[in-house]
Amino acid sequence: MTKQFQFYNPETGVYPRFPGDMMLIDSTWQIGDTPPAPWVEVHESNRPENNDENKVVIEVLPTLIDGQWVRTFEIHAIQSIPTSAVGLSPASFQPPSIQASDVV
Amino acid sequence: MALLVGVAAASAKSVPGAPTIGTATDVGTGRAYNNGAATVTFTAPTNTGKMPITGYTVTSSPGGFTGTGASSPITVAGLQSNTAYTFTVTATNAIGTSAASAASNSITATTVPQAPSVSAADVGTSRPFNNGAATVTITGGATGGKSITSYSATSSPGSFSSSGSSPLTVTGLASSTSYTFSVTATNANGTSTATTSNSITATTVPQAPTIGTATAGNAQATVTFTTNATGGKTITTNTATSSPSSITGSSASSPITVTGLSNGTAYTFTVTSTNANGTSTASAASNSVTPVVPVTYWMQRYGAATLSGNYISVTADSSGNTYGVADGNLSGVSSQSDSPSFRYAYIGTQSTIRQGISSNATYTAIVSNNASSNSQGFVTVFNNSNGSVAWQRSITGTYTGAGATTRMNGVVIDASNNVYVRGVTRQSSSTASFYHWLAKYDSSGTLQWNSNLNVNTSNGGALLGTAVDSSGNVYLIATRTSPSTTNAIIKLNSSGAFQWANNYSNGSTAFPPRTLVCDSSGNVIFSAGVGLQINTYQLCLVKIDSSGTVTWSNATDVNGNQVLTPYSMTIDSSNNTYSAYVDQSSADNGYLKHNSSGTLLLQRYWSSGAALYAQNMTTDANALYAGLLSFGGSAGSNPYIFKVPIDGSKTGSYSFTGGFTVNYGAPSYATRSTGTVTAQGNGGSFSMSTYTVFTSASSSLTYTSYSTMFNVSAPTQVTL
Repeated sequence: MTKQFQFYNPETGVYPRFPGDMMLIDSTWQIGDTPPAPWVEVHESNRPENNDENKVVIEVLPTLIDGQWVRTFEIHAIQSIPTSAVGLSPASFQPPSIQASDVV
Repeated sequence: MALLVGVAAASAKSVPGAPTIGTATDVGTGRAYNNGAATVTFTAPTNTGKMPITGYTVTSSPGGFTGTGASSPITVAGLQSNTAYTFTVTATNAIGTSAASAASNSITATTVPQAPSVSAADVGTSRPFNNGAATVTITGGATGGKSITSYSATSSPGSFSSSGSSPLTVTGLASSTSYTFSVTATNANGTSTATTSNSITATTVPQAPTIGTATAGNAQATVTFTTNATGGKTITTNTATSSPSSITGSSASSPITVTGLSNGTAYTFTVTSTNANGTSTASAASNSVTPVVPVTYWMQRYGAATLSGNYISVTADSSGNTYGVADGNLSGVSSQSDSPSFRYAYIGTQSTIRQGISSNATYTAIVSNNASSNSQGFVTVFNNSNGSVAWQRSITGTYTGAGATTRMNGVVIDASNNVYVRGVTRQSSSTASFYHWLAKYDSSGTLQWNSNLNVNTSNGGALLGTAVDSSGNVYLIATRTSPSTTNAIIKLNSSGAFQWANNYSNGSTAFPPRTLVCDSSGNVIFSAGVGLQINTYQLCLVKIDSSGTVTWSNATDVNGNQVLTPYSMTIDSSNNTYSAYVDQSSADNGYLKHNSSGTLLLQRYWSSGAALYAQNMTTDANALYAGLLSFGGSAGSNPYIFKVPIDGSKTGSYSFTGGFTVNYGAPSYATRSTGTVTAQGNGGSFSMSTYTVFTSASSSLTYTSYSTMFNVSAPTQVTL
């Protein structure tokens, strides 16, 4: 598993950003360097397990725990709204397929 | 009486006899100018005149300068410098003064030199900053009778000095500062009194400027700087010099633009300032910049506003032109330059379905199917340069009975212009005889081989993505649903011979590979969608080597709860991958950029009123090109080509006819954390009052490869 890096700006609440974004701020910045101020690195935390299909795991802004910014998750209930009520339908989001069944 | 007179005469007192002259000698040393001196020796007279001699007087000739004393020698001073003199001596007693002696030898009186006449001038030219110089020229002054051995000049202020022959150069002077110089002349007798020169202002080259910031452009860079002290003369120009290559640019003021640089080469710059005296030392080096081809970012509707398209693919050449191909009633091959003009070359007839496309720097290959018949497919290769057809082949199956079918599903063209066509052909009257195959054509359209991969439509099988490595090995994604759901990567060698097929799974119920690319080292990176948790789908990337062994894998989600489906992929020359995702919950789509180690570098999205699916992506050195296909929205369903910076540095909105606007940018929690966003997942819908988007995850996945999956038999040939 490759270690991932993500960054948070506590002054503006902008989150998340990634190494390439830090390189845009400071062209000399390299992965592993301290991010340019006021950006901070956000460390991994355990994502809550969710086996309830009526709930979802939501990531919120990082929190500062013991001097370290960590990813923070919440579990939210899903509010059931008819698809038609919000103008969306599953079909509208189905990517076109090039599978054989489409062309045979 | 006579005796008395004689006695009286013998004892009579008189003036002394004349002394006998000795030697006259010039004194010289230490004598002030025109105040020379000589010492004169003599012998006292034997006839003292019956009286004590009270003194002697030495008198010069000419000048009549005298010296007195009680005995020899006597010094005569006041002599004029560099003048010949003889001396006589007289003796004096109470009666009077003797007659003068004979004249002495002649001497020339010498002294220190006369104070010189001087003129000072600023040197200026080429003098370093704060190391100015003045030339002091001695224009007059007598020698004092002895050759002048040196002159000396000393500045005020600063006491910078120089000595030697005229003219003298005094260095070390501070720039833009006024000086006078005290000048003396020295001969063997000593140093003259000093003469103060006229005042001069020392000038030099300018002080080195202070470097600012270098900014890269197209084969050029702009360098800012701040000038410092002028060195006493107006700075006329400033020059920036590159390293490497010493390419220069000049300007009277900041900034300086340096042209003629090589795109892709890293440069630093130093700056010098020049005035009438010359050029300063160089500033410190600037930041390093790498000029690049100018990149204009745009999104181009492909065809008329009402055109409904299907597939769209793009490629870019080294001149920044892009080439797109789409399926639709009016579209075909199209080229797009950065100062956009948009041209079409139609392919076939309006009843032809353009099913798959691929481009390299030279050609665009398209596979299409006859809309009026299932039994014929076409592969057409176009010259990117002018849109003309390089070659075209028609493909039909040998079975010609009822339901005869030959369809093209995809095409890849490699760097050597070989064309790989994926398709399916019915091989008999049996409804279970739809087999998928891969065929390879060379650059001139000659069939090299075709392999039946025993992927049968009757068991839900299909060949999806195709990628070719630099050695001509071919990798395919193959799926089937019966007798069990399997998703595999298959490798064929450059001759079409089956090498291996591996199923990759992380244990989730769904792990369908979606697309794959080959890197420059023969590795394969493929994307797959995976459900880690309820209502959570992530985009997984897996890197395998040429033998199918997993090098790394990772997973990235959007908000941890969204439906994130991988779509097209591309890879750049540094082996960074760009993986398009479809966020089916937010109608936002975008791409993830990973480096060759699998670290997520960037996440960018595009969103609009319509879902924009990246059908195909490609890169050049500067830009990522995405062929986007919209579904719905105010402008209808249309294909677009979207050109965005490869480093994610530019974001913004792109507006099109009909009020269709595409937003492209970095993930933004802040702008999306309020309001209600509706999302869809797992067949249901939900809304939330707070919402986070575009977070990445690094969930620990364990991939397992299976060498026995997917009942792939030895390839057999299909008859085309």
